[in-house]
Amino acid sequence: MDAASQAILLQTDQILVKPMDVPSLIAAIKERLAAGAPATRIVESVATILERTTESTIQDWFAHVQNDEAVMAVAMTFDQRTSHLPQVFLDLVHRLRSFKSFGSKELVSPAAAQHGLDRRKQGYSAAMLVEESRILQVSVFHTLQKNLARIDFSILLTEVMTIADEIDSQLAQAMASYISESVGDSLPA
Amino acid sequence: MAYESVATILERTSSTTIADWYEHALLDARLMSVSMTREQRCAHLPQLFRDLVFRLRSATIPGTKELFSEDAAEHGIARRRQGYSAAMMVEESRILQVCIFKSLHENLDYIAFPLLLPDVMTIANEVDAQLSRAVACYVAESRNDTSPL
Repeated sequence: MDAASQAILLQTDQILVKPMDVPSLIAAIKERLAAGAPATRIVESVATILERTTESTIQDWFAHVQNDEAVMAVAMTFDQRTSHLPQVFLDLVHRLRSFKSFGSKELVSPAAAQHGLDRRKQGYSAAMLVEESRILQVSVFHTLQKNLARIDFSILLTEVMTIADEIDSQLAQAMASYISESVGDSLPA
Repeated sequence: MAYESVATILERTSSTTIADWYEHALLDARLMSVSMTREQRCAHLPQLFRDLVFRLRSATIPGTKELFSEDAAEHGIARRRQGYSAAMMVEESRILQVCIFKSLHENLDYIAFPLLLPDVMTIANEVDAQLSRAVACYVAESRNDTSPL
């Protein structure tokens, strides 16, 4: 909430609190006109921000995962735990730049399917697969909140919705291959 | 123009969003491979909307899992007994999120923007948290039967 307020304030010249008298308003306008155009705010697309922050967001995700007892029940190195994420971010960026509508399942990710197979072999349960996906969404949103001041608000909502949809779409694909693998092995669910 | 909170909009539109969700579910061949009445398919949704509204109105930090939903757990067990796979549960949860976002889009004119982004993040997190809980109980239930996961 604070971050959102700060981002809105960044797009203002000055805050005038009601009730205000007309001479003060005119003076404020004249002052602004005399000062000239304000420095241009740096705006980035959400896709660009995700590209730029991929590494730090993965680190944030890993820190969250380390606090999750259920997921940590399966011992893994950092590389094993996070090996799927660079491709997830590439897919997210691609989806954001492709302007597909919400709910679209057109972008099939072979990497997501492979991730489901890998997690099955590594000993994850289906619930752990869901939980690490939820944590990824939280970490991506944290990154966006930290970069709100650079984001074009007019498209932010659409892009946040696209991210949530794409992460769930990848989870659905991973889960489908996880289950197909589970049918072929004798491990418990 | 009178603004509404996202929670109020979700309350007001829950019936139409559920109807929209059901229409989407009907178009998904995999979900439809398990035969169910509309009541069985949608039984968990009214409580899920109440949980969402409660979560939006509480001061919970996005990303936390503090609100433990017993109904989400029961939903996971019910879906297991009804013959869903875990992948089908994920898919119906994804469709729900799409329908909620669509509903918010249709009501953007009534939403105060500064509140919208944190609320959308809370919705996405809560829907996934409920799915996580439901799948955990689904998996626990699967250990009691002989069907594949």
